[in-house]
Amino acid sequence: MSYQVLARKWRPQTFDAVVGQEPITRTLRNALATGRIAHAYLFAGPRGVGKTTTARLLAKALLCGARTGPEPCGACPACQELVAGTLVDVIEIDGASNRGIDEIRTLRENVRYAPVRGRYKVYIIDEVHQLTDAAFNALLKTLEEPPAHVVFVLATTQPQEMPLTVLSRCQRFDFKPIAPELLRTSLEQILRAEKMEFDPSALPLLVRSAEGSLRDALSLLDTALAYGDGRLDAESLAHLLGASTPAQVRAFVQALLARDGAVALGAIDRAARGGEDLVFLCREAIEGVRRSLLLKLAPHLCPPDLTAAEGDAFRAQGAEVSVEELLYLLKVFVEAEGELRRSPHPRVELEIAAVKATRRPVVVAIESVLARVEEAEERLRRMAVVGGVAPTPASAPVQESLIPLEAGARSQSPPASRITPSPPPRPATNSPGRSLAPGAGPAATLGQGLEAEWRQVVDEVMQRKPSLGAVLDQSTPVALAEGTLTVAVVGNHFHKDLLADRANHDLVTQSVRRHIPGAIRFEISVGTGQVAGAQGHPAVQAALGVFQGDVVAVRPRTQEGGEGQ
Amino acid sequence: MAFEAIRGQSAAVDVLTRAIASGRVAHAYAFVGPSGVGRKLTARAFAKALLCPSPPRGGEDEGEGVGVRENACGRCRACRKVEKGIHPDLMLIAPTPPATNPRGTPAIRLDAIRDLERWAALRPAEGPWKVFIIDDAGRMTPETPQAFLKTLEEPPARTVIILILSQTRELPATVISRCQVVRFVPLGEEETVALLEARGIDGPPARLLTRACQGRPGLALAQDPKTWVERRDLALSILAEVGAGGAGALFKWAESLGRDRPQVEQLIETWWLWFRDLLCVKAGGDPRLLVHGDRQGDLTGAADARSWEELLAGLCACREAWQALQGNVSPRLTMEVVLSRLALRAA
Repeated sequence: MSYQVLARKWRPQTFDAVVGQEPITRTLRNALATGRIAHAYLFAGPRGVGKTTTARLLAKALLCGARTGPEPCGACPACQELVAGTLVDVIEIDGASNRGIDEIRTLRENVRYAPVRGRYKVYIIDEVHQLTDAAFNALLKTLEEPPAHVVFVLATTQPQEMPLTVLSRCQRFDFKPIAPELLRTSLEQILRAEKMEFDPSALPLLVRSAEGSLRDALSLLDTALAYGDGRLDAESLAHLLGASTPAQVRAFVQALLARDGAVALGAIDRAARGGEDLVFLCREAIEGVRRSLLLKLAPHLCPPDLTAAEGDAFRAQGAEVSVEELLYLLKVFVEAEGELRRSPHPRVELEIAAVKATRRPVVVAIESVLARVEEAEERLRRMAVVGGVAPTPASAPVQESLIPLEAGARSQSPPASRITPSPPPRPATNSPGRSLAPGAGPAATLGQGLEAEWRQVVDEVMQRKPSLGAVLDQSTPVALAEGTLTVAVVGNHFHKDLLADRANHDLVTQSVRRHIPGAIRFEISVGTGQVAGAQGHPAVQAALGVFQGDVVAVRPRTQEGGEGQ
Repeated sequence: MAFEAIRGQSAAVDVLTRAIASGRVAHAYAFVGPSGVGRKLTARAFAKALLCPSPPRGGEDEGEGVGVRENACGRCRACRKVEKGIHPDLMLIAPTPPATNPRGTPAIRLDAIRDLERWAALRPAEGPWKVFIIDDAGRMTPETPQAFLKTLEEPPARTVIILILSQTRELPATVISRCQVVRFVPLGEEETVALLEARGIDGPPARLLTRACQGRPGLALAQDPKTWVERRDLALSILAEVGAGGAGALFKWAESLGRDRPQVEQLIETWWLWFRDLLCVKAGGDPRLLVHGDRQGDLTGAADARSWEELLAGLCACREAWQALQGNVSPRLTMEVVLSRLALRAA
């Protein structure tokens, strides 16, 4: 008999031996013990985790003549024939070769015949998702109500491709990838049983590249044993995997973090020359950066697949850079991984990623930016106090700067007031009281009433023309004199143009007349005069110096005490 | 063709010869590695070693590092049959166009696998094994690997199936998981040069070609080195000329070369590697990493003249141009766009 690979030789022969699928084997064992056997099972899960094995075990247990508990005896003729693959009552077919409706029709014909030996006939259909839609539909009736002696076991790696009508007729078991610790212990058991020498440090690498599949792990182990002449050691395993050793990957990541482009490019070159799958290197680099990030954020974590020394190395790596830099590296390499798969020059893609990573921009956390802004503000406040200006310094010059404008507005108003056709409803009381005398502290006489009325105007305009309302929203009434309401608008020439537009102006004027007693006309002030006035103030100049800014607009002081900008 | 003729794949050859020596020959192998490095050659050598009824014991081959017991004699009837490709126990499956359309895309189809299964069910006709080599296994139609799984996992006794593919991800993980993966690596520079020299290609072109094919002598051998160098120089002179002469030169070159898709592909390839070299120079990489090592002076000058962003944008432009060509965009348009982005620094 020719050599049998480990994955076949060590295929579990009892439910107990199935690794890492405890909930499933337990359910099946209980079902067998109590005799509650369903007529159709669906085993779903990734490759190499025990779907076909469990299906065969179920078949074996059902057909075993000498079974007392849930486990098959393994000694009776049925069990032995099944292991040899000669038992006619277990029909194992694969969905891909028997995918058509004709094959399913044949199957339906044969289902009716009684089993040859035992009480059951078990149909195991592997990769069942490959059946055509018509074949699935032809199977539905049989699957729902098969003859009493038939049990179907469907196995698939892609349950999402199966019709719901089939899924709903089966008891479904989802097989999980095998946990790294379990993989490791079962590999150790097999190596001991095979009496092979092995280097324990090789196992983590083996486990990691198996990605939760026991068959992958065993195939790899087989190759490694053939390569190492019956011995498993870390170095030859890495060579076989075409993988960089963990130390080399760490050196690569270290070079990236230290912004050493030459070393990083050298590492890629070495990997490419070694015939390494660059996707693997990229993925390992991502993993390395990820771990550094993880250990930086959660220093006391100890990942199960890392030795203490490795953990320390990652921790040290992460200590030198900021979280943002690690995130940037992750982003660059995750992007590169995608490109790597599609590009005809995977190496160039990885090199680009390495260069980007070593030349990463200095990422600054928003917190530190905010801290700096706060510091600047603090300094500004201190300077203002030292300069002997009132606590809210910006407001005074702003208000002063408004005075000439008001004067200008008033000088134009008398002719306009002549053409007022009818006096406003409440003229006598309001007009004089509200108008501002040139010298009398300008905003001070503007009562809350005017503010509130102006708000109504803004709200009304907002409803009728939101774009215009938005501009007015930023404005404050500064004066009401001789029927002219002057409003300071914050904004640029665009806003001014918008308000200067005839239709818009009329709209606002109407609204003003409606809501503000005594106001007939409406004028705006967006003046450079304000800006110039503000610029002269020492506090404003200090602010300009700190922020390297320009005075864009001057906003009158509001209740909260806004500052000129 | 025996194991000792295979250069630069000592790891792969070791796995196979040791498997024969220790009797641990698996039923399924996946030979994974870039094309042109000797995968098929090794598969044939392996088949020959398995099928040879009279392996020589002791002999002059010992110095090659390949144990003699597991090598083929190369003289017996079986060996000669394998070499001629007429051994009844060796079956080579390669992608074929569909039966109905001889000009269609070649692929490995369900029928080929059914054929294989039928043959595998029989006993070996002459030798101790039946060997199946599936070349370019990555080009299977989507349903084929699935139909193959059962056979691949538990084939009849005395069967060895060898899949040849360039990357493991070309086939579903369910297939690869059933095989022993044997990796093939690009050859080192000196090995490739030696191989090319043995075929009569030597001097500077051989070295240049070696760098450009990145350790895949099979690709280098498929080219005429002189033409290759000429075309390389042309590509670089176009880049320089358009950079100096502006849009006029660009459209002139696109007009004269833009109809020839393979040539445009090669131009873009050259520019791509050129920009990669520039990036490498700018990052301070080892000069030995450069593909266009003979033009190092030009590279340094050009790298200084461009910013990092320009270089990265250039590489991006090359990649997009290549993708455009794969997507059947007109080669001339592609060339115009990529040239304007590379030489005229258009966005």
